[in-house]
Amino acid sequence: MVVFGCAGCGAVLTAPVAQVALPVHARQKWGNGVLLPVLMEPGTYAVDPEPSGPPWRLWSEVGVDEAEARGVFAPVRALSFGRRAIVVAPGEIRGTVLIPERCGGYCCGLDGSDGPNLACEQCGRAVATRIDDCSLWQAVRLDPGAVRRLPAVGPAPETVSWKTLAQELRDTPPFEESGHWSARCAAAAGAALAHLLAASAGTPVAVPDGLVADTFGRALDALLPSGPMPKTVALAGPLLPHPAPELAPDISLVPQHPQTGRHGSHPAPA
Amino acid sequence: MTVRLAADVWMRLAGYHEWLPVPVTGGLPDDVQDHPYAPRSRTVPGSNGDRAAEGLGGRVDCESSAGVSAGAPGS
Ligand SMILES: [Zn+2]
Ligand SMILES: [Zn+2]
Repeated sequence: MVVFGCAGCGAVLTAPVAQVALPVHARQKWGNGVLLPVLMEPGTYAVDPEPSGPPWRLWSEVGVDEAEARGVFAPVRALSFGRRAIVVAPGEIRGTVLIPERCGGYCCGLDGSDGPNLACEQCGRAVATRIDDCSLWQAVRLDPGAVRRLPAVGPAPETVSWKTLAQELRDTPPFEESGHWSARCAAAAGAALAHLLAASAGTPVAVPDGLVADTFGRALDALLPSGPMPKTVALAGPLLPHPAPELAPDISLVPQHPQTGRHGSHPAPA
Repeated sequence: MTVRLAADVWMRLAGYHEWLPVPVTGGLPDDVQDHPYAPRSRTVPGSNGDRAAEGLGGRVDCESSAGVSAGAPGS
């Protein structure tokens, strides 16, 4: 567990938090006028692997080559060239005040488009950006250049086993009451679909009948050619039987652990 | 080659948790607007989510989804 403090005066800025992977839906924008929940679980933080916040550069200024080097292959209006933020739940923040002139550009809350909107209460340094406007997952993004890690306050929590995780996740519904996919389920499926497409390298893929085909099949059919010798896709992971080597798929769809961000693999054959 | 899927969704596809008592059809791409499991609402271009993600200034009331004039990138 770590506590983040102000790099200027050393004041405590967060409760003790343990590092986890950034949720896949961190950058999701959902609906309009919809207030989304808090992104991060209590007592956790994540380091965003992508830059966020200002300075921004328009797509026309960035150019295709530089964007591709950043892993952005489809045009966007503008790319952030900001820092890689430390993301926590708003409830973990201590000792900050809003910067009134940085709170513009919102309708239901703050969207962070003006840059850092939270200052250290003690010394006034801009330290973080609170985001809680509609359509956005609520979070506070600490500026890594304005905060520092204070001495650890106890060991990090143990990594939850897959079996325990399965029990914990049982109550995370993939659907809203209306029957529509939940925002996080749609984000998870969308991210996996993008990676499936990349893994296909544009060649035909074959997904197993059932829920995998129901979830991804139609989009893959629409986006990839059909043809002989498709790459095979199958679920693989810690809770499933190990396939015989000759039956191993070309592309394994594996679970990503929310704590570590690592994927689960099969247990070693007995 | 491996492709990762968020654990909670993966566990449902793997049959570890119940998914839904009715068949699920994929959410993309052709008839996304009307099939019953499409995301309820797509982000309106120029909505606040877009502006935040793209560093655009200006203020938009979420009650109004009318045209949004794009501001200059924030500084
Ligand atoms: Zn300070
Ligand atoms: Zn709003």
